[in-house]
Amino acid sequence: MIQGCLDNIASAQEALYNRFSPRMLGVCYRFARNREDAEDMMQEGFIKVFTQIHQFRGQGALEGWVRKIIVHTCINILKKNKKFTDSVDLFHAGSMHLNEDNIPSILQAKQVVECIRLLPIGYRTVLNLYAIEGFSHKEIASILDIEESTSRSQYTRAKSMLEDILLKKKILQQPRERVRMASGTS
Amino acid sequence: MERRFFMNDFEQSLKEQADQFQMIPSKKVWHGIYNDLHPGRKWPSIAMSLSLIFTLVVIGHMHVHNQDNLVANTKNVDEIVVKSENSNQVLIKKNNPIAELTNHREKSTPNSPSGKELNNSNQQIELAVSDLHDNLSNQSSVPASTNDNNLNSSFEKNSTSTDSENKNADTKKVTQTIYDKELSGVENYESLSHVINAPVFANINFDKLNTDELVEKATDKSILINEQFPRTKNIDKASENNSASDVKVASAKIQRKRDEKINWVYYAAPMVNTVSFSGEFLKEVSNTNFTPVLLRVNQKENKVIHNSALGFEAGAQMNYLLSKRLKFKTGVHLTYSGYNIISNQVHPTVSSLVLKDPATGMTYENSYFTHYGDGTGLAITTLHNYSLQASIPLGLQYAFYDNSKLQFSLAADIEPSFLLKGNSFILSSNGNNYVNDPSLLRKWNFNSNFGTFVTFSSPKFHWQIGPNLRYQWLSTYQKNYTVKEHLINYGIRIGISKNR
Repeated sequence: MIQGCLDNIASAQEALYNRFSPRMLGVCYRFARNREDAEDMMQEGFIKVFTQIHQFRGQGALEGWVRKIIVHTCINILKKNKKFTDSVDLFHAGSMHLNEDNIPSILQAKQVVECIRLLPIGYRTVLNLYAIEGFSHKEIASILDIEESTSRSQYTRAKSMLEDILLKKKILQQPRERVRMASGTS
Repeated sequence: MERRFFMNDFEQSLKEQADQFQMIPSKKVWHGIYNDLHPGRKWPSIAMSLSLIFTLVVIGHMHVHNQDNLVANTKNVDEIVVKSENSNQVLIKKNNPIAELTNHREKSTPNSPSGKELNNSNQQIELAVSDLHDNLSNQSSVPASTNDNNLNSSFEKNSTSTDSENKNADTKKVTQTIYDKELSGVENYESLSHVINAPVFANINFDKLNTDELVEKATDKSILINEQFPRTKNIDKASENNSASDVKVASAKIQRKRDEKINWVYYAAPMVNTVSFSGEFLKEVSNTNFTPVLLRVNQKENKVIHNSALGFEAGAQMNYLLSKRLKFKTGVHLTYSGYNIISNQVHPTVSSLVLKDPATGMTYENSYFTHYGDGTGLAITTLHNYSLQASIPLGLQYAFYDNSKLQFSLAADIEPSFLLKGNSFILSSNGNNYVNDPSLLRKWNFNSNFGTFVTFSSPKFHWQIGPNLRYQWLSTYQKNYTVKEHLINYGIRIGISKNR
């Protein structure tokens, strides 16, 4: 399949696309504003994958390499948007109100993703990169052109907000300490 | 609760859950990738579009070109090359352009009699006549002494050149092309028969002559041009005044004939916009036991009750005359249309929109922050949905009544339209709120304009006025939003075009 992609054979490219696109669209969806944006991101990402596949050395899984390109493509697209640049650097989203009744629930994985997507874009991006994609705060700071401390604080706030949502949706279980604290005081 | 999160390993749980999430992309994503990677195999619609545009251009060009050919052919048929060598010999050429003859002349060997005749020509006058009928009648009815005036008023000189390399100083080459403003090519062609049947040319069979024979006959017959065509004296006189500006005038005339088929109309149309809704309203599937059903005052069966708003359309239209009454019309215009929704401001909340993936048929939800509700708050606010589209109309216009001052016409077109800007407040899937998502707006659409109008003629301008209806064929929104919205605009169109 990889050799076919190297030779620019359409059937091999389609096979690779079919294999990874559902998961990659899920990745893009977490970063994007809506499904259409996610598809645009993935399309651009896969074009990069196919044009740069000669750079894949075979070290590690192909999926990881594809995912890395897709994530970077998502970030690059988001960075083109001035709103994103502002929101990732400012803490304006703290005042936003979340109505947990409207959080959709179809399957748990989708619920979690939808809950992530409810976060303001700055929080969401940092949370995606740190908690899910495994980047360090230093790397995130470099990717997003922000201070490392900003990345940390964004993540803390994002995590707190997401926990609240997940708790209210009963997707997240209360920690024993907190329950104990609550029962001890009463 | 084995699938539940635990706070202690929040990141790990989050990653596991997020990694499980997959979505099926629509087919257009792969098509986009494929087209980008294999640009040589562009999808057929692009090829179809290009071929359609090309066909239209070719048809348009051929139509115009045929008109030119008709004029040019008539000229060729009418071209009479008058060769004068000391004794004013006349060479007559039929159905051969001057250039062809000149070329042929150059090819003939210098030793041949015809070649010699030509090379030794002291005076060569090439006369191209497009309306000899009129000219001959002038000759018969008007004395030669007054022909100067007639020529000046009826004919226009095309070009004159003097060959300085010829031995004799009086060697000249005069090409005079005569145009008639009013006679058509067919009439000119008919008029030629009068010329051919004239006594001067009675003994020459034009159909059987080739160029060499023409040259020979011309030299043998030695027709005295001054005797048969008194006006050639005038031509000589006129040729002295010949200049490049005459060529410009002649070419401008040809261009004008072409332009007479085309006219531009500039128009504007104030409109009242309304909208029709159809399609399926997808309701939110909630896992909560209680979904508050609030007072909903601005909707009926989940369709927004809208208020009409004012819109505007303005643009330029090019009409191309296909027949006396029928015109093809195209151009470009901008259309601003929209409608209003009465809403109430509410505390900011998250609201969802259930969408359907057109490729898979699966539904999914988008969530939005909004502070607009329907009848649930205190402060009333008006939400304005609008679209600004640029369109290229392609249609026909038929004049069902026509006199010199007044014309009644019907017009219809189809307009590929591109959304330049728009705003979209959509009823949320629980029916409680309005969410704003311009990204759901369809970029390309198709509209149609239907109208009838009356055209008045003033000395300088034609004025048009009449009712107009515009309908948007495709939904304002993309396929994933299942409610179909079609904009309908009623307006009065006012147009102006220059009177020729």
